[in-house]
Amino acid sequence: MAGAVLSAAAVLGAQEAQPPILVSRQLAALERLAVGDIVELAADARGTNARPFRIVGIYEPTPDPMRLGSVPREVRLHLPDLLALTRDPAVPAGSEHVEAINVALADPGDAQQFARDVNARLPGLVARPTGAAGPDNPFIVIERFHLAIAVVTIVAATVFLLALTIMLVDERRETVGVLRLIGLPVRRILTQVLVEGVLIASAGALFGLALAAASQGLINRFFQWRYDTALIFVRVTPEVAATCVAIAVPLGAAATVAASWALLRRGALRLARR
Amino acid sequence: MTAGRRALAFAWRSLVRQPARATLGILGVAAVGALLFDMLLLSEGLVISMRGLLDRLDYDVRVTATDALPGTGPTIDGATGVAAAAAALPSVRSVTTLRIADAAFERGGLSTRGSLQGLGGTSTRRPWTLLRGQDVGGAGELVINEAGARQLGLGPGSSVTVRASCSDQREAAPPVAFRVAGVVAFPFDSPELVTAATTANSLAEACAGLGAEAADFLLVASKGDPTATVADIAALPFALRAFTNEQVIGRLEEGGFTYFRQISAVLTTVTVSFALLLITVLLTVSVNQRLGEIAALRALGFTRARASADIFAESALIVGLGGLLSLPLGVLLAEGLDRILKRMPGIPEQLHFFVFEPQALAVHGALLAATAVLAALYPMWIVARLPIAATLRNEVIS
Amino acid sequence: MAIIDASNVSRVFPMPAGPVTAVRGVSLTIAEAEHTAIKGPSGCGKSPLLHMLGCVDTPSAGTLLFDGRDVSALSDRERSLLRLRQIGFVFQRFFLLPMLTAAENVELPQAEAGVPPGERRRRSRELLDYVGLGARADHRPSQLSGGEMQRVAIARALANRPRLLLADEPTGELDEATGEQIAALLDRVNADGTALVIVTHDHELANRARRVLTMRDGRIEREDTR
Repeated sequence: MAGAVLSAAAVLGAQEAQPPILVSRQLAALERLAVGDIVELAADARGTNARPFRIVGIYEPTPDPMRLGSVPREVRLHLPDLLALTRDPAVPAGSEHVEAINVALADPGDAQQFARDVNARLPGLVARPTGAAGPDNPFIVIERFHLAIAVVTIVAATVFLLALTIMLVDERRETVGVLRLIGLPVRRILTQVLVEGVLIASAGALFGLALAAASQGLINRFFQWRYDTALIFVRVTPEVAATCVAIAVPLGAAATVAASWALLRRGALRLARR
Repeated sequence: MTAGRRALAFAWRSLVRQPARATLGILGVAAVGALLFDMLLLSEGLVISMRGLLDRLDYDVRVTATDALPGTGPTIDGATGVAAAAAALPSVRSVTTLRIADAAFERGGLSTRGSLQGLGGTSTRRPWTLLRGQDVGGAGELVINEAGARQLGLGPGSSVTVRASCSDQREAAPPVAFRVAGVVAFPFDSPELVTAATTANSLAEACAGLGAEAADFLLVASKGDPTATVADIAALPFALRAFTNEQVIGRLEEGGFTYFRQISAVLTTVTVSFALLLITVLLTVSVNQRLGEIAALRALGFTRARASADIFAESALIVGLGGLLSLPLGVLLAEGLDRILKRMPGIPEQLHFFVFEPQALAVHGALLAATAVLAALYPMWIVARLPIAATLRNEVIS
Repeated sequence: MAIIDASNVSRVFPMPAGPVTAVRGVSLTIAEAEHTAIKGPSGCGKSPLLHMLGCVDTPSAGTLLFDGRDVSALSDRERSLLRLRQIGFVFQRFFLLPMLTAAENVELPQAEAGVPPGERRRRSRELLDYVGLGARADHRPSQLSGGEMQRVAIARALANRPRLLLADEPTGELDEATGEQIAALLDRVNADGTALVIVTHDHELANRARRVLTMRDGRIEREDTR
């Protein structure tokens, strides 16, 4: 990777003679570049050693959450072209200097061991497994942050849910009192309430999932527009959906039963009395 | 007693009448309010924290070679000359050049990687705080942060071998022995990141003389008007960019900081909507259960406004009490969330995502107040439009 | 001068199946300290008429004057203040506020009328003594029997010294003995100078009034005066 300066496009003859480059979509949009344009690239602001290149494609940069907010004004070129562009004139051609080497292992499971071996045998080099999602990986950290927020939201929702079920059950106080007076046992009434609670909670959870599924597109589109990135910010996966249902349904049913239980502890006569 | 206080007292009695649902309502608002408070702290927290860190350094202008943020772009060549020219400007008090190189630190069998800063220029002030020992005095001395001292067992007077990886080197620089003059705290230190600092000349030696005249950026202390200093530096015959601290913050805000601001905006909207919806439902159900009572009070001479004011007061009490409770809860939650986010690599120890500021408190209060008003609108409308005679008749029939 | 002067008043309720006329062209006056009972079968229009007399509702047609003022011409706020200061209501279901004590329930309309705290506390004690519940002033409605609750409701209705007390089936939720006690209390209120209009389907309660109006199909079918 190298910093470079791109100068205004200049149409030259014999286009095929120019080395090809790819330009990031964002840079192309910013500089109004198109496939076939000839541009000059230099490694510094003074335009030292500037060379002409031909744009052969526009590419979407791999989204990088660590660079969110910075517009990826990038070009991709063949390594020999990059080395020629960035080489100090005093350094003879042929010597290579790169900032990083990406290595694909035959067995990705060996990544940690491979990195340890390289670090031990080649002082001055640092090898890091890229696939390893350690506890401090930004994705993991953000995920943990979102999880913490989700927990608080669930706690708040549970409290409200309990308040609402208490009110709704209280509305049926007289009906429950009459049922008790005509001889229905508490367990029978609780079972009925539980079934109702499960049905309502399931309907609520499904509605919530439908809402999330509908809104994920909007949220993604907004953030992708805001940050000019192809990153996906929200994705309702089957696992997420299953977790939501697994939390919401028992919670809703439990809240209904808890509220009903508080009511059923009172005497039948007291419930039936206005 | 004024009508407002009467309504408030009445609403209080209505809440106390059903303590379970009132408590749950208040606790729900407290939880949502805590999250809301934290999102407001998050929206500006990084900016405030970063501004605090920048201001703490006592330099109010940064000079770089390009528009890139300090430390992220190309180096400034001929930094000594640039620094001298900048220091000669009437608006400038002092200039420090700063070059940062990757480095491996070794002592005995222990080795660790980090960065080595080289300071030059006209200033005697140092962008760090001395914790133990002495400051960098002469050649071959460095100061190191606590992480480095801990990992290598270093202290003032210890020796450490440094292998610098300077940006334009093709080959590894030869190891250079340094004497640890002191242990310091750098403002942008991460808990595990080893940082050391020495003079620009000593760093150049560690880099085998390469880039001796280069600096990643200049730290400039103005005589009180950083904007004028920026203009003066821009007028110098060098292709440089100068930024005040506020401009640096502005650049950061355009970058990665916005993610947390956007997340905070989304979650603020969601939490306020959530609170609004649920308080509206709580109050509406509560009103529907008391229609007979309300109609009777209207028949006894309570005006529409008075009966509606009771509902508003109830909403205000639930939201107000929940809101008050949300503040200590929010502080606790913010501490937890800050700890989680600070696990991200490269986050300075003294940088915080959640920072208290009075404006956040004011916005929190305003949003909750708006929630209380909006949540009460529909139940108030029910009360205001309640047909007294029909309701009394229905109550008797039911 | 009559407190109420109703002239040919009607009340029509719009219903999904078509408008229902609950009160048809009723004319009557209620004089100061008068004791009137309105009786009739369910659905004959007693309560809608009472609600109009109490300025809770306004006639669909005809004129209803309260103290010489056309009730239909008053704003909702003016009618509310009229009810607060001049009219007392007693409901079949009492409608006491459960979170307030008996004394606080009686204080409530006074507080609304701006009576100073000391004076309204004194008045509430006096009224609770009057209805025989002085010892239960600090009890909440849930700690009172039905008859006691209705007595508190009567005390509350009298709180602002109304000229007219309206009672809608005041003994409807009570047993016979308790109903008798309430009826006696209402007689006493009337004897002390407050005009009283009772709506009831209980003949015995109705017959205690000096004037008994019998309604059928929204009309006053018969008027008996003792």
